Amino acid sequence: MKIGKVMEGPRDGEVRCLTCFERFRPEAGAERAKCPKCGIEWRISWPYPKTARVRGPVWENYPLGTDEKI
Amino acid sequence: MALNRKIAYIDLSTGEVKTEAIPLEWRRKFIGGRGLDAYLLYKHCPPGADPLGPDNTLLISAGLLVGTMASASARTHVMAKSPLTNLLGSANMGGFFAPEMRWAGFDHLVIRGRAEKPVYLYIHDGEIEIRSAETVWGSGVYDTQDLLRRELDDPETQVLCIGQAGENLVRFACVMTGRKNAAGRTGMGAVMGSKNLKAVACRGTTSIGIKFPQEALEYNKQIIDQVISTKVSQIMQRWGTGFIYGVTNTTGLVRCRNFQYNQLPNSEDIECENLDKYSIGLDGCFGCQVHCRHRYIIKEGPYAGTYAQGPEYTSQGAFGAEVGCRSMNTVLVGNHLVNDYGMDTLEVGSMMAWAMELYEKGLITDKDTDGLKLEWGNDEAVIELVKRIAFRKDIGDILAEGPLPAAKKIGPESLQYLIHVKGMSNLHSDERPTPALALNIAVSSRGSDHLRGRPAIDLYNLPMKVLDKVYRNPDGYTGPLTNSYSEYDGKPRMVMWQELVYMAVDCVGICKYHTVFLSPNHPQFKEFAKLIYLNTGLEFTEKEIWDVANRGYTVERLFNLREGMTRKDDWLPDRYFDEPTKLGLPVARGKSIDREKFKAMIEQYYRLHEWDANGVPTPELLERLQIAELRTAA
Repeated sequence: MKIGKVMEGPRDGEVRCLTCFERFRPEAGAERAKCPKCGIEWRISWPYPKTARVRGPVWENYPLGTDEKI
Repeated sequence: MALNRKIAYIDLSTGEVKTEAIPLEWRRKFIGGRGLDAYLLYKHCPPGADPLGPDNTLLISAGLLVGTMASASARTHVMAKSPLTNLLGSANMGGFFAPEMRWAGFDHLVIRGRAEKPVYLYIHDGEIEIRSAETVWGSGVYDTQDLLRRELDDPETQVLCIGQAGENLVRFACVMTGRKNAAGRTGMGAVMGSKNLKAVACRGTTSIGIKFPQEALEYNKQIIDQVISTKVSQIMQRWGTGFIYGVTNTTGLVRCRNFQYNQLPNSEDIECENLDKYSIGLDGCFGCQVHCRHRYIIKEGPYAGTYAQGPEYTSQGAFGAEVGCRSMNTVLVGNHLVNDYGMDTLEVGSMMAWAMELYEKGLITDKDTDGLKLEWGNDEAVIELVKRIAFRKDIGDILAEGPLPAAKKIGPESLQYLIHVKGMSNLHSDERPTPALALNIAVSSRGSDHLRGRPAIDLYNLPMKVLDKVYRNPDGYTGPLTNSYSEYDGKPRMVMWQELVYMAVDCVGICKYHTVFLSPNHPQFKEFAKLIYLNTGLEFTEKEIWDVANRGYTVERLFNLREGMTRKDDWLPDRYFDEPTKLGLPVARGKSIDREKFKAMIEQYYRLHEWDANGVPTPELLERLQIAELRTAA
C-alpha cells in the first residue's frame, strides 16, 4: 500500500454519466466527452492522470435549457 | 490507557473545577464523544434553561478513539442547548485539538456558569486553570490562537476558541480550532460567548496506552487502504469536498437565489478545479491520510495575500449559488471571513440569501440595509453583509438572531421565504428531487442538517446488492429499499441507518468521511468494533455498537422533546411541497415533495426507530436501551 498515493484499479479513467448513469471512458486527458448511451456531452476533469470525473455540463449544450436568465 | 481519561466539571461562576473518572458503565452504554455528551447534557442542563444563560451546560469532548492509531481520529465534539433552535445544540470538528485534550488527560469537559470577565481554560497534563482572556477578547479566531500560544510560550498548544461573532452572541457563531475547523452548527460559539469563555488551550504529554499496539497498527493500515482506495476519497485528496459542487449543481440539487432555483448555470469559476489557481497545497487533520482541505492565498481585492484554508462545499453554496455569485474570489474571501469571525458558513449563506430574496420582493429596503444593495450576485454586498452580521450592524443585527427571531422582527410575510427546519437553516442543497435527503433534514436531531443522517450515497444509483449489504445490517432489516433517488419507498430505513452510523462515528471521534457518508465501501459498525477492541481492549459486537448509537440518538430525541419539540417540528417548509424545481437534469426538474408520501415516510421512520405516532420513544425502547430513567421527563 502506498499511503497518500492514488491506488490503481480496473475503473481508472471511467466516468459515470449524470443523466443515465452509464459508465464510459473518455479519451485520456480529454476536456469534453459525450456519453455513448444518451449522447449528453460533459466537461471532464482529471484529478490524476488516470482518474477522470465529470466536472459539469457543457452549458451551451445543456440537455434542457432554461428560459429564465439567472 | 485509552480508558483512563477523565471528565472535568467546571463552574465558571465559582471557579470550581472537579475531575472524575468516567465509569465503565458509561463507556458500555455511550462509548464517548457525542453519545456520552448527549447523556451528560440531558442530566446537567436544567429543562427550559436559557441557552445564553449561566445554566446552559457546554460540553466539549473527544471520542473514545481520538488520539489513538485509528485513522482520522481527530474529532472534537461540542454540545449545549442551542441558542439558534432552543433545542439540541451539537457540532463537531476536525483538527488537532481533541487529541491534545486526550493527551492532557481529559475526554469530556462539562462547563457551567458564567465568568465575570473573559476567561480561557488552560488544560495541561491533568491540570485545569481558569485564566484571564482579556488580552484576546475582541480578537478573531486566527489571532486568538496565535496570541495564546505566545502567552503560553508553547507553539504546540492546541486552542479552540470563538471569534468576534461568538462574543457578540451571534446565534450561529461557531467554535473553531486552526484556520478552518469549525464546530459550526447550532450556535455553540454563542454559548461560549455567553459564558465569557473565549478559548480552551490544551497541551498534553501523557501517553494513551494502546491495548494491542502492533495489531492496532496493522488494522489501521487496512482501514486506510479501505478508505483511500475509493475514488471519492482520491478526489477528496485532490480537491476536498468542493468536488461535490460540480455534480450537484449539474444535476440541479443546489439551492440558488435562496430557494428560487435549484442550479446556478455557468458557474465554472466556483468549481473545485479552479481552486488550483489559489491553492498552495493540501492539509489534513490528526491521523488522516486523506488531507482534504486546501491551504490557499487570496489573490485579488482588499484581502489579497491573506492565507486561509478550505473552502468546503458549504462555502461554495454560501458565497456562490445561494446568493447568485459566480466568483471564486468571493467564495474564498467569504470563507476566510466566517472562519476568522467564527460563524457558521451555512447559516450565514442562508440568512444572506433569505435577506436578498426579501430585498428583491421589497420586504426589506435600502432603509433597512443602510443603502447596501442586496441584489443577487452583488459580490461586494455579500462580503459587507458577512461583516455586518458578525458585528451586528443594522440589518446584520437582525440576521444575527437566526431564522425565526429575524423573521419575527421583519414581519410574518418574510417567514414563507425561510428555508429552515426547527429554526436552523438548511445546507445549500435542494432536496425537492431527493425524498430521502428531504426526510433527513426534516427529522435530524439538530435541525435542518446533512451531517446527522444524510444518505448521500443514495445519489449514486447503487446496485441493490450494495444497498442490501449496507442497509440490512447489523440488525437484519428485511423491509423495502430502493436505489433511485427519486423514490420514497425504503428511504426511511436509509435515513435511520445513517443516523446511527453517524452517531457511532461521532462516539468514537472519527471523521464522517471515513464512514458510509461518501462511499458504501468505507468503514462502519463492524470496523468500529474492531478498532475499539484493538485500541482499548473493550469488546463490542457490531450490533452492540448499533445499540450504543441508537441509545445516544434516542437521548438526543428525548432532550428535544423535553425542551418542547413536537411531531410538527419534523417537517419541511411549504416551498418544498408547493414550488416545483425549475432547472436541472430531467431527474431533478419539475420536482417537489409529495405531502402525503412524505407524511407516510415520517410515520415509517418513527416506526423504525420504535417511536410512537407522536415521535416519542416508546417505554419498551427505553427499557431495552437501559435509559428508562429518562422516561418521565419525556
